[in-house]
Amino acid sequence: MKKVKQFVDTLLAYVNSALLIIMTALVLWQVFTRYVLKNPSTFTEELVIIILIWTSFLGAAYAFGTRQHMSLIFLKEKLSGIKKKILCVFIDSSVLIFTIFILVMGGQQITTGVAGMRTPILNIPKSYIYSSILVSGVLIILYQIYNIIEDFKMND
Amino acid sequence: ACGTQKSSNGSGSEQKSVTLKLAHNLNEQHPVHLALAEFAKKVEEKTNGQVKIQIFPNGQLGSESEVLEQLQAGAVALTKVSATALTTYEDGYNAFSLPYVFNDENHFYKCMESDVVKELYNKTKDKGFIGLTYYDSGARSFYTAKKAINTPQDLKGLKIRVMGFKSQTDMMQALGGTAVSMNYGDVYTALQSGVIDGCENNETALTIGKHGEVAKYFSYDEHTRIPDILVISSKVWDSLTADQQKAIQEAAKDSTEFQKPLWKKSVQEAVEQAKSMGVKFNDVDKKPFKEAVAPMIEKYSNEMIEVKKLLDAFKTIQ
Amino acid sequence: MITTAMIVLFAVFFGSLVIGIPISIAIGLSSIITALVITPPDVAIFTITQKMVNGISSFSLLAVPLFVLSGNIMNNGGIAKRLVNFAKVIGGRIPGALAHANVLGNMLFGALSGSAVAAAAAIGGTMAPLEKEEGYDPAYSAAVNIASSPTGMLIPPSGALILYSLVAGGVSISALFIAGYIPGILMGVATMVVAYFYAKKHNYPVAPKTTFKEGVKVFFDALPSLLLIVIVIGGIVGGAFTATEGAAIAVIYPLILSIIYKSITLKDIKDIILKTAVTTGVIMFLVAASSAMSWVMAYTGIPEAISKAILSISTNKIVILAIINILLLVVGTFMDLTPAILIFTPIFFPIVTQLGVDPVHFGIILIFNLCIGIMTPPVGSALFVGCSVADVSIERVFKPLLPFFAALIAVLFLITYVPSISLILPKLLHLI
Ligand code: NA
Ligand code: NA
Repeated sequence: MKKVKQFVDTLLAYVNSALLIIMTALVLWQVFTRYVLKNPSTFTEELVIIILIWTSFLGAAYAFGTRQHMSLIFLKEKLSGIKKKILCVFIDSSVLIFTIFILVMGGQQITTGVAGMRTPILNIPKSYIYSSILVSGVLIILYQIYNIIEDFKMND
Repeated sequence: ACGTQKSSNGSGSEQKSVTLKLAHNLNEQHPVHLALAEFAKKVEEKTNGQVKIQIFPNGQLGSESEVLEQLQAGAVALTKVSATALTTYEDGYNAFSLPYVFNDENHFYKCMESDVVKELYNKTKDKGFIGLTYYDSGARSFYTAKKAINTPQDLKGLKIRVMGFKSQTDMMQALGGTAVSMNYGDVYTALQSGVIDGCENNETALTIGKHGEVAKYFSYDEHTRIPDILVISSKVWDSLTADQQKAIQEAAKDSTEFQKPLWKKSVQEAVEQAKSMGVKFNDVDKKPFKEAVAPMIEKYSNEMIEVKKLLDAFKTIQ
Repeated sequence: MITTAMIVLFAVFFGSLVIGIPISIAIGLSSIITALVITPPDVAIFTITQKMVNGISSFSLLAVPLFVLSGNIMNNGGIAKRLVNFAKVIGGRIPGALAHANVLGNMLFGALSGSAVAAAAAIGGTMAPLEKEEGYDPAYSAAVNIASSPTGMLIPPSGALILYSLVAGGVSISALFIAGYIPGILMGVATMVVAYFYAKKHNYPVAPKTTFKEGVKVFFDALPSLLLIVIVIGGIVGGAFTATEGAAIAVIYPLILSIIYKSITLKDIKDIILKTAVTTGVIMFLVAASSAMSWVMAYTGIPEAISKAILSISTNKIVILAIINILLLVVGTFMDLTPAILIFTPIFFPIVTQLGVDPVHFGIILIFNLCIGIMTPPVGSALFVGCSVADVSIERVFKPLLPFFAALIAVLFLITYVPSISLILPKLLHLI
């Protein structure tokens, strides 16, 4: 279990880092084509937006896995023992439920809903964009299950 | 269901009133918004208050493509979008984004009111919406910072900002210029700094986006006339009585007529204001432009049978 | 029905927030539950999901993570150190010299990056040991660092102003950037004034005189870094490139400098990129959820209802701006800058523009206000980082921070009621 999580963590870390580098490079390329090649690239903007959406949702999933999303922690710090355990399980379950309904069910609905539609410049299927939220949702579910198990094991 | 809120109205009587949500992304002073407000008023009048329309202007609910998806899902009932936004759903709408398919304004009006366009409106029924009517969005021409455009040769080497659709970049390529796509909000400074040499739009862009301050030449090549289209959700449409449908159709048609003079007035005002900013307007011989884009139109006609059908029909309308 | 929707939205949101649900999920949950009050489940789920994806579908938005990346590189790459040396020369002859150098360092670093936290860490972290050596009270040093660290949120480049621009429906980023200079500098000057009186009272020393030759050397050391301001901000404001393109240049330029300075290793770069990728995920997920919330609010008419309620108290611009400022100061105590911008801009923006407040001016008011929020307890990112680099507790730093809060709130009201402080520069440059 732990090994699987570590593998997913590492994979996501590499993918996200690579996507960030690619985006930076593409934006610089756009400036380069305009000023040096004098022939501005027309596709970069659309491509960069698609990569940004993927980076954002995959990054969000990674941040759930590594518990790095912003939250208020007063209550958690105030409680201890079983009460704290219940609170942590409740919080992580809320994340899980939101993910199931919005990211996964909604993501599935929207990805199939745009079947056949294509982006205006690159002419690639819009489902390639919307599926990012679905993939992210599945990853967050896995992470949250792991987090909830961790919550149960927690002892202080 | 489907974005309509049904509430029984009065005691015992079977009168049901529905409120339909209409979203668009123009401001509340825009002629098309005024026409949509008129449409809402007329619908309510003609249905004795049974059908009410609630308008969400300023893109509050999202961009054109987002609102179209919301309409399919049932969150909104009606929306006004540019014909270009509909090309993702129905090839035929590409016809309106192609250059020089309409001879002039009169020809444009006649074509938009012809049976082929009405047929096109109904083609998307199974995709979740149908077209009701169109609004005039004027003719789009080139406006540039440093020199007027009189022939396609004048576009050579110039970077022109176009809308982010394939038909528009293809058109620029056919005319010899370089297409640049960028956010509308960045256009002003890009024109100022020479990142782009010009844009293409109707006259109101000179004043609304203040582009006239930095682009001093507006050349009337009038390459495209891309209408706005009012669409309604198929589910909502089917839930209405025949009388209500008739009332909506009439109100839509009236609002189109209502919008035409308003649009002309706003263009006139824009031209006067732009002239006082120092913008020069020049007439253009369109023949070389039409010749330059002929192969591109040929290509689109060959690739999309619906486009060919519409263009052929437009040719017979005089 | 609007009332029901409003109660549901705020109750679920604040309830989730208080028990410790991640802020983005609190925003998302309150949005979906409110949407369920007024639409069938399939419609609600579809639209919330759609708005989440489309909310981050923006080229301009990419500028935010790129500026974060740029800030992280500068934080690591020896640039901060050179700026501190430069700041020490400028601030040297005033009592409490090191405190003033800290403020100036934050302003200079802020003019390169847009993160209060990065400034507080990079500049504060460099200054804290020096100040301790000269006998400064660490709590006081930390307070100075914390109070001046957000200057870079106003002095461009600023991710906060970019976010505001997007949420407010495309207010010109160039105009906002230029408008931020004077208020950002005023923020720094206000902290320097407070620091001056404190230092005089406690007889804190001035720095030894620097020779002209030393000064020149320090200046030339800092020059390549300072040049970035001219390239990036000049390029964005002059229209040579968009904010996003400027941000990409702001990534590559300090990276090259850091490699030349040999102050960055491959491992550093790897860590910086991963750290930024995570920040990107966190911020963008917040933006995504907030854009769903904006949709729910617009769809149910909540901003309109709040606007009516506020305008029923008064229609006087001065009174309304005071109310909004006080509400935002309260919000800022417990909410971080990013979610606060995302949630409250759509609510307050229509009210103030209706009263004739310039959208650029309101952006500056909003960010200035929320900058105070990130240094106030209980939740304040600048406060946390400032305390941790100076190794003092939040309790100890609270008292020395109070005079700074007073000064900054005074400046907040000054920039609120004197619009030209913000608007004069963008007007001179014809950006508005
Ligand atoms: Na900054
Ligand atoms: Na705070």
